[in-house]
Amino acid sequence: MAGIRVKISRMAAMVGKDLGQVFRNRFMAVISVLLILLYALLYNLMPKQVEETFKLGLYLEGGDRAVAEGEVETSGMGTGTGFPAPDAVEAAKEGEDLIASPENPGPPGGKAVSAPGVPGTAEPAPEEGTAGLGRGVELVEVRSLEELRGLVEREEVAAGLLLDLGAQPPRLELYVTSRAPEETAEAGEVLSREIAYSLLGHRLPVDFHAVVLGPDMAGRQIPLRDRLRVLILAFVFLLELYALGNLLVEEIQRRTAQAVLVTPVSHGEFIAAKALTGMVVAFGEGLLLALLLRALVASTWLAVLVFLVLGASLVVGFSFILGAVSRDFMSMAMISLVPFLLLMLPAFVLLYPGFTSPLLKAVPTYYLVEPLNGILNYGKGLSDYPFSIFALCLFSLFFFWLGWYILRRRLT
Amino acid sequence: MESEIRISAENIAYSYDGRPAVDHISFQVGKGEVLGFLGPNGAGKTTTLKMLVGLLVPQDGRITILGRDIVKERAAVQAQIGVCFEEKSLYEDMSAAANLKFFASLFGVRDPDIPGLLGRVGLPVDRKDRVSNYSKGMKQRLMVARALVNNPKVLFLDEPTDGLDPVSSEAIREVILEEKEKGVTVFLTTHDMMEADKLSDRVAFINEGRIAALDTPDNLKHEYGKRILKVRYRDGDLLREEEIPLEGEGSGRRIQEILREYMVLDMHTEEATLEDIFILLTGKKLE
Repeated sequence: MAGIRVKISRMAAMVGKDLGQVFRNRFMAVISVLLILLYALLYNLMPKQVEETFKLGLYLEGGDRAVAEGEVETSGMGTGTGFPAPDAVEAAKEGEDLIASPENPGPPGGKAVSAPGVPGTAEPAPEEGTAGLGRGVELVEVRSLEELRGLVEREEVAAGLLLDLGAQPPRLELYVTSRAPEETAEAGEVLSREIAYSLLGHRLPVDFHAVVLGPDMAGRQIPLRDRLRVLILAFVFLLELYALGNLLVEEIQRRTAQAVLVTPVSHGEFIAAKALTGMVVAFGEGLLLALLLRALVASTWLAVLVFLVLGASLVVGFSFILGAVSRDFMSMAMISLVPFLLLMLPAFVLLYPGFTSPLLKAVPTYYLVEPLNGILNYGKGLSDYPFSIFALCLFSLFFFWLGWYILRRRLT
Repeated sequence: MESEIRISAENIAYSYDGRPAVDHISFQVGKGEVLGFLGPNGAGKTTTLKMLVGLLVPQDGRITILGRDIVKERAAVQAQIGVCFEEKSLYEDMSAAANLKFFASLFGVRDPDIPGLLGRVGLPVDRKDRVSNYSKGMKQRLMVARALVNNPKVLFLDEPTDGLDPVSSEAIREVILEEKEKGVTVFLTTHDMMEADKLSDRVAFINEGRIAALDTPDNLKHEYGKRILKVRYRDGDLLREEEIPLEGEGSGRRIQEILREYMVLDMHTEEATLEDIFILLTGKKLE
């Protein structure tokens, strides 16, 4: 019992000294604290919501025939003017005939028709005409399917609608980009039905068919600042690689580790103290940042804390390896450059979901970033990520063991 | 040597990548004894010291410190020893007092006498700045103070005065002699023969990982040295100098002759130095 007390006392002394040392290193202290504050400020200054006009490309494949037969009015290439006017949409809601006609034109001088509000409710455009376009829908008519696909792929429109009125039964196809959120497809579906309904005057006897161009990344339309939040958390975590790595490099380089190891402190105690210091620093800074980024709310705090702890332990393992194989801070910076970028990759992909790849699952930080993203941005919980927890534990243990092994060899 | 054996090395060996650094050496050091471990760079001094303090595990042989096996009871042994390495190994961003306090806490020493320790090695007690501002000599003295923080029974000092100014060297030598007076065993590695001669009760010459000789400086000088009498005298207008072996045949007659016939200016005996003996035994110089 007394032996354990002595060991705890020694560990406490080492951790206390190490923490002091980490924060006495002005470069690391400034980098860590200032970045945390800067990120928090940046986060709070960024817009909270995504404001988008729903821009829909429209290609009427049978449109020419329909127009020739006097059933539909279109204006050809360019922005659509043949879309039913607000009162026609309103009429649609009331079950009236929605066929657009010269007597029932689009908005005066309008380049597009706006149907603001929640897509699918077919609410009328505001009285001020195009004033509500910023929050509404804008139609862009094209002459060919290729042109429609091009618009969608270049993201000049949120979605593209192919409406083949000549086919029996009429055919509807919605094109969305791989980066388009799930809501885009849903909105596109509702709008397509409304447009078709208004053009034909009756419900279409068709099955709606959405075509995703590229991998489906549905459901990820999160404000940039919230996506950035996970990236920042990962970045600050990984910066701690340098804080702890540098601590180890200095202990070895200045031979203070040797001086400590000729006292009753064992190799195990020495390394464990470093691990504890790393955990405290990485977790502490992660926690501080999470608080400042409003990531710790009632519904997420437990899950976030769990992943912060697991992330901190992962960082400790990496930093052991980094510290043990580096000769000084500069060599550590050089050695860690590629691994650092690799480890950051899963967090960067959150900003650009189109770059996602199954290969990312080989990067240990994927299992930290992905759950944090899910928890913070999609309302998921711990129970949604049992494999991530398992993978993080496994990665942490492996890197911790490897770091311990290399460090022990270096110390002897 | 007193009866109580504090350091015992039996046939210890250590190799780096197959190249023997320490090649099966044995020695013992008693209570209150200073053993000077002399040898040139790369002779195996530091490797021996690292094995003795538990940083390296001997690949062969056995070491006991204070009657305990250093490999099996490492922590218990280390609690009672003090070590001062040749390389500076201080937390340079901490003050001298903070360094001592930290190391005291590792030994479980609750209230270390920091001013007393600093005072013993001639360092200012009230300086609160970082050790990085200290001179080389001051850092070395602080390292010696650190080695004393747990009141050790055995002190290991690796080249403690190497490259230091005379004041710092003298301060460290005084501490070594004080500790010896208190009954502390001192294992001193050095390549400074004068220092070893002044401080050591016995010296061991180590060369290429082996002990070439181990005895008191007097015995070594007696056994391997050549005692001579150096005489300077005036012969007419000429000033002459002559070396007369004290043990040689006819030495007495020649001395009498000089005294009788010339005006002797000065005469003194000259003993072989430890360095001479080291060169004689190993064929190598110490530096």
